[in-house]
Amino acid sequence: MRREPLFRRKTSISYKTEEKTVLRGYNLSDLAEEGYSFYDAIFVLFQNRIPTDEEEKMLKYEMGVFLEHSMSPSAVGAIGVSAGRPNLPVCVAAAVSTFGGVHGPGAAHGYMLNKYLERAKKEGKTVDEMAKTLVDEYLDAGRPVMGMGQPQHIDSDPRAEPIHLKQEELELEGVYLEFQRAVEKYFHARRKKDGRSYVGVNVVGSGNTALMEIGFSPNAGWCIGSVVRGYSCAAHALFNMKKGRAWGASRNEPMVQMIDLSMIKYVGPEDRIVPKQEERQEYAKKQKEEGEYKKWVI
Amino acid sequence: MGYLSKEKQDALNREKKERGIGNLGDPKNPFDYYEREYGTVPRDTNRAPFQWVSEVAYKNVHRIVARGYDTTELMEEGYGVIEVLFVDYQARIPTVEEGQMLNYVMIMALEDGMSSPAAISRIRGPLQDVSDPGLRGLHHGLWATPTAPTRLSATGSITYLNIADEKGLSEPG
Repeated sequence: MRREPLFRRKTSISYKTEEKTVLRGYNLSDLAEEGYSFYDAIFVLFQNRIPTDEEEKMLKYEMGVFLEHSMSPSAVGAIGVSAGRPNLPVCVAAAVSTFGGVHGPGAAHGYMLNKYLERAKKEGKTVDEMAKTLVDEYLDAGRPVMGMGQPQHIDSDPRAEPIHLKQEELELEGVYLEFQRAVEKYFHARRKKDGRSYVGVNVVGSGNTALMEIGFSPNAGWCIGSVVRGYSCAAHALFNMKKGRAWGASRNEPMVQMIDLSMIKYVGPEDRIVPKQEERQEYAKKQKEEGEYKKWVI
Repeated sequence: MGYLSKEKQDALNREKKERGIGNLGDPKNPFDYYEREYGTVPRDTNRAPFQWVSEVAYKNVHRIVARGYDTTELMEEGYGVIEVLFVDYQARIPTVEEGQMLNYVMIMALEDGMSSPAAISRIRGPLQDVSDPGLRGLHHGLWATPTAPTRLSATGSITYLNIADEKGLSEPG
């Protein structure tokens, strides 16, 4: 039977036939058989190249250290969703869905670095000068500097500085590390001057810097972080599916559960009478006039 | 907040009963609607307070620890994602051969050309929005990178070993 394709899917990433899957020209089976690592394959996937030994080690370190973070919004998201007992992929999707401005791999940090480095080039400023500009502009505007601060690791993120050090040990320092280090320097100085407490670099600030130094785009860094964190969040969800209580509200457990009724603290309007429909119009008008409802509007 | 005072509860119930609310006062209901409490359930002080229970990992201000191993120390000692997956899922460091095997499997599972998750992820939108449907597309009929270890043990290997056994395609070893 002759078939006319309705559309063709174009891709520069991979193709497959009945016999093989080919990633950027490399047969996946050949890559695995020749002893390449998962990290090498990630380079091929995102950058279309085999990395140097040092680059592979850097990626291995960054991915490994980012994988597990115990109870963060992503793990809690996966656990919360698992309480309803959906399939595991839904829990992983929920975990990834928690990633945003203050949690997760954070492509925004990479875009911030790129934007200001581009400005440095255009404005003829040094990396150091532009780092100060970045810090001042962000803090003057009351905006958080991407890659700084972690609400749980208040002294300093245990993953962050070791990533910087690994990058230096592997002699992979470049403009990104130079810029990031300068941003941290001016950030600390500015907070000190303003009489504010110390806030260290976080895993995105150092990890993303390392990833960009070895050629990954901010979005690629986001994908890499999402994949590895997905593994640990799947583990947390799986643990709860296998060893936790569904729903998370059982009164038979010796410990109060996640959504036990007693966990609800309600601070809204007190219980009140629902108006009959014939009373509604007058009631609604009065409610609007009195305006007390405004303090609850969100 | 806790329950409202007895006086408030009684007053509310009395007024509601006098007004009547649809079928809620119907005697066919297995409860007396106008005897029900208002306000939230008070804190349960007879049981231990809620905590996030995990066998997988904990963290404090200075450490992230998976199955007893500090994850930063794991990296400093030259381990990586492959080993942390064994640590997270099996609470152990894999042998070199096991690490190589998982590495092999993960490379093979990394890319599958134009499969359903890849196809659906190509619909334009924020990266997060296109990756989630891709993830959700990874059910038992498809490989799932983040869930591959689970699928291998839970569904994939058992299913395919059974099929191979039934068809006499290989000797289960």
